[in-house]
Amino acid sequence: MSAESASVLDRVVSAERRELWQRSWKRFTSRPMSVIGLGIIIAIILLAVFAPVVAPYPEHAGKFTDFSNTLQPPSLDHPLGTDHVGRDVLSRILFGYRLSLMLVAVVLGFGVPVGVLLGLVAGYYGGWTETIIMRATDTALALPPLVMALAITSALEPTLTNAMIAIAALWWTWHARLVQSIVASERSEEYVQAAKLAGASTPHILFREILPNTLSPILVKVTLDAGFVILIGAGLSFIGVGVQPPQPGLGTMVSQGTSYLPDSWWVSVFSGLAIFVLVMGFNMLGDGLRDLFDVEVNR
Amino acid sequence: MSRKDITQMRSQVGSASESVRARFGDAASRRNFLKALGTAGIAGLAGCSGGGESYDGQEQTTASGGDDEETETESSSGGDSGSSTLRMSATQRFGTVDPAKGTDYTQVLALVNLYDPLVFPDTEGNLQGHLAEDWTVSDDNQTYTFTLREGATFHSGNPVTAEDVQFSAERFLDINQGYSSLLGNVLSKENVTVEDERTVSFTLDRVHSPFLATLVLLFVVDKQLVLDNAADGDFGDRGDYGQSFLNDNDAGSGPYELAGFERQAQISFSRYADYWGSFKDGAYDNVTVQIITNDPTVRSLMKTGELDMSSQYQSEETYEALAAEDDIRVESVPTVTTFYFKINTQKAPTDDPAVREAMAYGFDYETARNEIAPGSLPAQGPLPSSFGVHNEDIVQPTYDPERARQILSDAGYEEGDITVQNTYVKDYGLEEKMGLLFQQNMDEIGIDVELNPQTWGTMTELATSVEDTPHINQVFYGPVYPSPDTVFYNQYHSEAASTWMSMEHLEDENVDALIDEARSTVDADARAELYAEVQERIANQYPDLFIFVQSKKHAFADDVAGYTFRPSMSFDYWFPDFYQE
Amino acid sequence: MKYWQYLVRRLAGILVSLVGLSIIIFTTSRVLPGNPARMALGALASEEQVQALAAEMGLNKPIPLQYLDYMRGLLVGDLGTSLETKRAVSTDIVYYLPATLELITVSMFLTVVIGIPLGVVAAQNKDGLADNATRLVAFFSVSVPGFFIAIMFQLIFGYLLEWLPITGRLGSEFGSGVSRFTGFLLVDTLLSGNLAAHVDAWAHIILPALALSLAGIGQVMRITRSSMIDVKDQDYVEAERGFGLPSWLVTYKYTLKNAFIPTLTILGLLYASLLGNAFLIELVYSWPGLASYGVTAVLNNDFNAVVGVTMTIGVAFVSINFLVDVLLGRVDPRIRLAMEEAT
Repeated sequence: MSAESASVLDRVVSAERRELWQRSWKRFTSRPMSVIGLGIIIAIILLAVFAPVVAPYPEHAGKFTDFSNTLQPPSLDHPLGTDHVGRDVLSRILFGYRLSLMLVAVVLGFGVPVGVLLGLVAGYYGGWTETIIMRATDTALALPPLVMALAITSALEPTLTNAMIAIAALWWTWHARLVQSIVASERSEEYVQAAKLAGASTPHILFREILPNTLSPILVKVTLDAGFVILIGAGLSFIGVGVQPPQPGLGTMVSQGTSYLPDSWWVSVFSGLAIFVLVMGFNMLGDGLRDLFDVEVNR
Repeated sequence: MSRKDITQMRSQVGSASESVRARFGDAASRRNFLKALGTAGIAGLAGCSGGGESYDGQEQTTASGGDDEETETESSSGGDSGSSTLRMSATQRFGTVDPAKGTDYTQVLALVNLYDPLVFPDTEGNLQGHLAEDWTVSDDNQTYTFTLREGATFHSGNPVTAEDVQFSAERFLDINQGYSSLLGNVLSKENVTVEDERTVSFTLDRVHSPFLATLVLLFVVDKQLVLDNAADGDFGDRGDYGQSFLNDNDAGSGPYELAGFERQAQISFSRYADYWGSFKDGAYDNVTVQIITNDPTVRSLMKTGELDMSSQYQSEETYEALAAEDDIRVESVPTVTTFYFKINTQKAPTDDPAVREAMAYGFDYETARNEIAPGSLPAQGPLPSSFGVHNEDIVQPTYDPERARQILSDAGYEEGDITVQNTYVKDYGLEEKMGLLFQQNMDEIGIDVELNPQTWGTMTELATSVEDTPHINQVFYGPVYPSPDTVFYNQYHSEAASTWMSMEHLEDENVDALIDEARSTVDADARAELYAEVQERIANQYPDLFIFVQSKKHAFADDVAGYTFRPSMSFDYWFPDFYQE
Repeated sequence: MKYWQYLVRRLAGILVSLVGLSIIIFTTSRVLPGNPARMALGALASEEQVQALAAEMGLNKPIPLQYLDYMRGLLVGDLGTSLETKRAVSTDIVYYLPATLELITVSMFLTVVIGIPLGVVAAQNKDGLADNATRLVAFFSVSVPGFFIAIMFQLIFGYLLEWLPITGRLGSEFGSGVSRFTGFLLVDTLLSGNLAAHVDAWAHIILPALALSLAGIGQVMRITRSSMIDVKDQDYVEAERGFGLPSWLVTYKYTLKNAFIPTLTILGLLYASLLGNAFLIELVYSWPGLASYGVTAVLNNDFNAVVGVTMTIGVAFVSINFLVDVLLGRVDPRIRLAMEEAT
């Protein structure tokens, strides 16, 4: 192939790709809920990243007390009120989003690559490798995730880090299973056989050939997972084995606020709503992506 | 509608055609609440075993099957006509009702009503005869001879005799748990002598001035009943000394009998008709103490009339809300209980007196008192000022961050060098706020604080070893017997180390010597001097932050009267005090 | 491979995973700080007594040996003694389990009764107002934290409107009038002939059950809707309509029945997942069930109870999942395969 025709080919390919992107984007944006979901997530991420600047009282997220100002109802000064120690609820929620997003990033950042890798290996090699890996996932999934995370976190000290470890230790299993099942069905496909015959190395087959086919389900699942991870993290904090004072964990804030119901409702209610909005955003986004890729992922 | 209306309406319950409001108006049930953030050591679950029993929480738990000696179970819900029930709440579980083992406020609350000691404190702390009618002290101040009153009987019907007192003392000393060290150091069980059926004497190894006061914690048990129910054990022909029996049953002669016991959830008592003492008009036939750690639950139960008396550990917001109700009042009474930040003096970095001193000057006591514990009194040293022997000259640190920083830099510390843990009871709002305030204050002087909420059970467990005890522990401590000795011995004497009362793990020979000397000094004035000196010695070492002296608050339903304060832990919860107006 | 071979393999796999679970949980619980012997005896126990009890409890043996002892006990149903209640853990679990099971069952009932009809309505009004409305509700129900909705229910129905009680299973005035036969209040109140108590039991269970069922309702709605839509377009439905069968009959008797299979899948999985979510709901409503017992055990380092509860939940969870697999594998092999990757 001459250099000219190669570049024409490249341009055609990239033109095709661009069109694909544009079509996908149009499909995506045609559904209002997906766009709203994306918007929510982007907004919260920005708020969380710029929390020290955006929050009206950033120091309230840390070591701060103001006992003359406790349990104030929402006002101009404190749009979401203050809590039992006098801290601004709005600022704490913004910093709480940081913790939640960090949790998601760590859990998925660790769990997904590990799970995908193990799933690839298990699906491709089959046999004992597959059995061992799959049995391991069975064990990790022998308990409802919240209970499992609770049991593990309780053995360690109840800190945010340990909660993250506990949840991450569970998360790889789902992705492993997802990838394993896809790979198991793909490995007999023609293109894989062709690559093998052409002498491609196993890593090449795994990563350059099979993996791209698993990306879209993984991406959808990751987005939907995010919401679930946040709910589990909030649940752990609610019980009291996640975030420790004075960190502004959203679940912890809901839990602390319950002592002051119903008169000082704003602490629990707004913290709970904050969790809800974030999770809803991820779910809407994930739903939109799923429709986009037209993938059957059971969540 | 008011509490009274609801109570009335409930007593007419039966037909399904009741108004929705009356039936659905009660916002809580007797089932107790386990709050997510843990408890002060308990869960809120009633446990019944087996079938055919009712859901009435007063059922006895059968830890081992087939207890024939179970006390009767009586239903004591407020709807019963004809019998009155006082329903109180407490914030921590009843670990045991064995009189040789009980030590914390709920355990003593139960024991003080199920059993009788020989002597009993009055509101001033002076000792009155109780099971003992009278007593004499020998010239050398080492032998105490008690004459028991006539006609006192145990709940089993057995008469109270000197042999029972001797047995109780032997049991207390042999089992060697609970408060037995108070007696064990000065009394050998061979020296408890039965003179005749109603006379018993104690000969101490040496002069011990608080002896009489410590006797309030020697609860007299029914020797016959206990031995009849002794299981196999390590005490020779006395078997296990009835430990498994007494864990859940009562062998006492006290004004109330054990009617039901759910360790985690509630304990109920019924009046002992043949009690040697007299009851007031309107005294309660039954008393139920529920474990409730959650403030909103206490609040809604009091509002709907299902609870008559709150615990002393509710949050300020709860007391305020309840005081605003028409038929509920909140009573506050000054106590001699101090709220301490107990500092582990044996563990770095708090083993450095400079660090402790800096912390003492870095804390904002006024905000703590006025905002977090309104109504509380200022502390001054380890002994509350209402004790006669209080040393007025002790320097109580004030909030002075400059000075604190100076102390630290003089000692060579820089900002961020020091990290300490502050431990408190989970889900107890007051202590959490104290922790947060402390954290903020310490931040200003360059000390990092980690907050570490735990259940009360875990805190008492951590206290037992120096390495495990956190640097700072938030604890309320008040006299467990009516003598200043209780404040010093239990908290600061090296013999009494490793309990929740002595998390300071203080090892100071001079302090020990002073306490010992005070114990062997009979002359009150000489003793006062010694106490003054020991207060100063202790205060100078900053083993604690003395935060405030507690004003005890309870919410009462308007028809509950009679609460009487006594300067000895849980002796203000003596049920015969209470009556219904 | 043959179906029953598949089942046997699955069963073996389950046993492996349960054993693996037991090892993990057992080891982590032994790692808990604090000396269980001392906690059992109390703070003022002497060292000798603590040592004696520790030896008796076998705490001085190496962990693998302790594990074997425990497993041996497990096989005969001995789960050790709880440090808190001082009773056998198995007794405790048998006592608290019915409360949780009752809650979960009523939740399932609500999920089915609310979720399926809504899904049908959504399917029939595809892309219409009802459909979009239910889709929104479905999103909502899956995104909202269970404990939060539980608290909101308390706020609205308990504090604000004062319609319903917000804690516990039964008002205290009924305690003595109801005998315990099964541990399921709704049953026992009837068996005790106490109608007022029965109604009160419903009043107490409705809020937590509703809060618990919310997420499930969303999922059931959507699955029902999508599978109904799939089936609706099938030829045989057209044929039935062509025969003049009334449309409601077509909908309910034929379409729904076949569309039910994926829904059944979800329901089965839901029942298992409710076990996990029940934890938080029980805490909010002071529901005296297994979850509350378990959380207390965790917070108090009551290691026998922790292991006992975890294993119980694990066995239940895994069993239910397995049962669902079996049932559906019989009905539709495609689902069996799909479920392997979905769980």
